[in-house]
Amino acid sequence: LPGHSIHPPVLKAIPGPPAAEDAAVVERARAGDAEAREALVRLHMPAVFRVTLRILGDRDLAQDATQEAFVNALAGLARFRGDASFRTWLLRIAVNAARSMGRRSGRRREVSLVLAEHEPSRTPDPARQAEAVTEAERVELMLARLPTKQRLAVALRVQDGLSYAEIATALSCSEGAARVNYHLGVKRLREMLR
Amino acid sequence: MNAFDCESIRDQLPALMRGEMLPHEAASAELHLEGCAECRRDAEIIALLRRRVPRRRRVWSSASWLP
Repeated sequence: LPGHSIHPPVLKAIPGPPAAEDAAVVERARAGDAEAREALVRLHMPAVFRVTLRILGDRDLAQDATQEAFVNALAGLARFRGDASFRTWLLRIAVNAARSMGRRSGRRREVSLVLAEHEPSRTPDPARQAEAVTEAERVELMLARLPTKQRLAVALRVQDGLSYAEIATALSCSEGAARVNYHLGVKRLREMLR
Repeated sequence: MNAFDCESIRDQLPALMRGEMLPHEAASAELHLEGCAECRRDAEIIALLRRRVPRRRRVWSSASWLP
């Protein structure tokens, strides 16, 4: 990181996560439309898988937790009242599914498996690409070492674009706690990367 | 005028990088970043985290397990 200029790449807008789900699709899924249910799965599976992987650190367990989260969510669609977005409601279910699976499995997170999930940088210059990959891998490694609440708050805000209110819903905590965990996580990353 | 202090700029960095800030707010935030090494460091960390978002590959070929 030292000496690496942030201008202009850092300030370049990067496409965010998929657009907010179409409420009509949720309604159709709630009414039992199989295509709508599959559409919800396709749209939200990447975010759900990222969250479960962040918690469990194991691809196989994360896949199982992702599947469990969708099964639980779709079976409980009648309980979705629209107070939060469907994505936030689903992520809360995913967090609970992953935590439950982690307790059942008793397995520890493997940082290397978390790192294996990330694709290489698309920086065109090979030398800069190598440098960027190294820096990005260091940041990912450090992120994987943060306490769970901080790790999830940072990942959900930075990588999934959730607001503090949405993170609070997903993690079953207060909005203030979500904000504190996000800032503590970033501060800790900054300190570890000095 | 620079409307951002360190606390507020760090709150807004993810939105800035997603291009979700109004143009005049983004310009003000960038002005702050030019003069604040600590916030630039946070911006760099967040940019690296965004670059390393896990690939969105298909986990299953179909949701055949749906109830």
